[in-house]
Amino acid sequence: MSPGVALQVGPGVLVRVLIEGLGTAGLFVMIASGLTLIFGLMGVLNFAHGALTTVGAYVGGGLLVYLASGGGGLGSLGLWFVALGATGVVLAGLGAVIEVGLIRKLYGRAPIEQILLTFGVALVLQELLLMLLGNWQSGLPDPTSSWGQPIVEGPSFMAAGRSFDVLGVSIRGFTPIKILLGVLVVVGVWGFLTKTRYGLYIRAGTEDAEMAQALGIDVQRVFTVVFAVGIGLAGMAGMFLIWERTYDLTYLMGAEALLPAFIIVVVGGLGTFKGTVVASVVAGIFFEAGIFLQTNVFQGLTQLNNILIFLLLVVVLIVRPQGLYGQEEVGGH
Amino acid sequence: MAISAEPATATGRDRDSTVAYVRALLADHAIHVVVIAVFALYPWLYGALVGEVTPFDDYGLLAVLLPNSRVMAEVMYLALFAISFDFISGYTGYLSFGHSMFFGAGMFLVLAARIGSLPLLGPGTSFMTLVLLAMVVTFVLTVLVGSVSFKLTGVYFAMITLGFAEIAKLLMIERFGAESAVTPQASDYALGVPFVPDLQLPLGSGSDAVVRFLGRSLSATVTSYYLLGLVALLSYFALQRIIHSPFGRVMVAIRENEARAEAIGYDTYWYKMAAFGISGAVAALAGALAAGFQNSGDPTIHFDVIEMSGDALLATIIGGMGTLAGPLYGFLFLRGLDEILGGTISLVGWIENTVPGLVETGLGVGVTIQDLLNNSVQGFAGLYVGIVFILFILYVPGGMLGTIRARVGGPLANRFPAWLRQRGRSLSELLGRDR
Repeated sequence: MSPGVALQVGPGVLVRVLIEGLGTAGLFVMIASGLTLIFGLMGVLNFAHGALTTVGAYVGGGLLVYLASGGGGLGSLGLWFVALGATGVVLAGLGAVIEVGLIRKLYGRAPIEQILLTFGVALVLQELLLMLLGNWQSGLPDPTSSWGQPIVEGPSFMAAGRSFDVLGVSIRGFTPIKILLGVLVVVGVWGFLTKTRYGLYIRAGTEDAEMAQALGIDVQRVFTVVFAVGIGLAGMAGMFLIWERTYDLTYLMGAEALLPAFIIVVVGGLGTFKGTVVASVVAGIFFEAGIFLQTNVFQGLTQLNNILIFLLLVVVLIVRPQGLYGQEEVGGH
Repeated sequence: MAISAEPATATGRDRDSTVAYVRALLADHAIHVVVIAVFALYPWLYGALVGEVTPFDDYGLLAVLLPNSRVMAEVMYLALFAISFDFISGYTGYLSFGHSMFFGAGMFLVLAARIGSLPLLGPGTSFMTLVLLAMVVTFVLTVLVGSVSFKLTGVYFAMITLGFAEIAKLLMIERFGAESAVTPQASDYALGVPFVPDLQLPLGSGSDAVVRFLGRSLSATVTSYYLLGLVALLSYFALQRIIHSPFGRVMVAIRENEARAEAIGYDTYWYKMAAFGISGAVAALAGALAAGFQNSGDPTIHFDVIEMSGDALLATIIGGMGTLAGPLYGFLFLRGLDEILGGTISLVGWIENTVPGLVETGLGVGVTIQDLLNNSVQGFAGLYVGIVFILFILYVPGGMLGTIRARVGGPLANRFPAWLRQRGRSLSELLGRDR
């Protein structure tokens, strides 16, 4: 490596990679916590999670466009959070419908069949999204490419292009809110799991669904709630993916984001929330380190961020197949 | 497949016993003979019913519904790929989500050699050499991937193979770029018996070579269809042979209860590795054939887990997982529907030609039937395939062939000859003849 490279990798770079990495970890944890809760409780590895994230991106983006055209202006912080919350609610509803209508029919069958079912749901959702956007003649640009100017630029109070300084390092405008949301989700889900009655039901169901049912817990309803909450969180994360520089807003965006989320869930240990949080942070920092390296050091390698995360998966699966905090019998044959 | 008439010993074999042997063989393989005949006669049938059609003609519904010989040729190598996927996933129960990697490896070994970016293998290397090399190289690659992946089971196995395939795709994109497909200059691919140029025929839809066979001249696409079909058929019989061997019984034992298979003394790790290696080599064969037929390949598509492994999965589930032949019918359905809803000679085009007035009709909200067709039917084969896939998972878990097998009480290859024999006997009894 040239001496120029050595100069670039100073403490400032480390701080930036760390902070940006935590921001990415915030998004990852929003997508992956639903995935891990659903797997832990129901044993379903949800391949449709990515497609539902994309649906969240379009619902959120659409709401922003309508709120902006209503005169409120995209810059208003309050309206922006209204859109975020509404996206979460809409997606949670969609998640509940999918659980009740489709997934419920397959409990008790082989785990492979559930993977296949959610894979099919993902395909259908992607195509439906493409179809709806094609039929929606409201002057929106081609849904397969980027989507509308106000959406592309992001809210003015934290425009995607804007950055500010932390410890002498410039941080992109969205990073603090992603970190904040990630922390809120971790604290919220953790509180929900440990401090509420429903959380108790979920933990009981994860431990032994049959026994929980025998003790009078309506496990079916707990399944539906967990699925809805997981999908709601993924939908909100989808809204942020619109402004992520590594993703293009296309109907396939969520599928791209799903792969790191899967890796996080497997690396953390299927079904453990703690493992997912830790793995999200590690993967987020790996991801940003990859982006830094591919823009500054190895300019030829445009996919280094993804390659680093996949290497993380391969190494963890070889060294500790059950994941960082997983139990050995979960997820095997 | 038990052969009812044992071949006579070499010394005592006379003409009659040979005839009896062949007759018994054909009777036992009755269903194979029927299926092969249908596929062999298909180009002739298509020619008789549809003929030559261009998108500018006033074509009929049959031209829309029947796949042309180019689509049929593609189905042959795609089906071979899906059969290799079913071989490992359907028989050992290990879902090989990363199977796209092996197809892509075979394809890009051929293409990379043809664009002159491989050491030692110049652009002039014969296609058959490249095909055999692709199978050997991919066999080694598959065993390497398997040596790590088979330390895991269930969901973890599916995930790690998916991870390997994604890394492979990203590396290939780094190497060949994501912007355009890799298309070699020359497109001379001769497929046939390796190292015997006289027994090889040109492969590829682009070639304008015309082959004369039994007094009829066959177009390059039809020749390719027969060539690819022959390779797929031979590979299918080879894989079926393995499934029916003691080795294949161990594969099924691993699927049904791996711990038990291990307990009775089988070293399941090496059985899985061998099965995976064979499966990978066949997938590479399919990929190499695809490279020869298309003379192009795109790492963003042919190494993609969703595009390639996903399609193989759809075809396998719809056709019947663990039936080996099912994926062929699955892909026939998949590619057929793709072509009906997305090809140049499409259902929407036929509706527009046949009832020009209808498509102009407005639906009241500023949308005409034409808009609706263009935005919800044309090019949306994926949606309808996805819906069919979900319905199959929920209500037809055995797939097409698996359900038929359950209905007739066994594989058609066994039941159909038995049924024929029974019919033959009852017919004889009816005629009062003593057999």
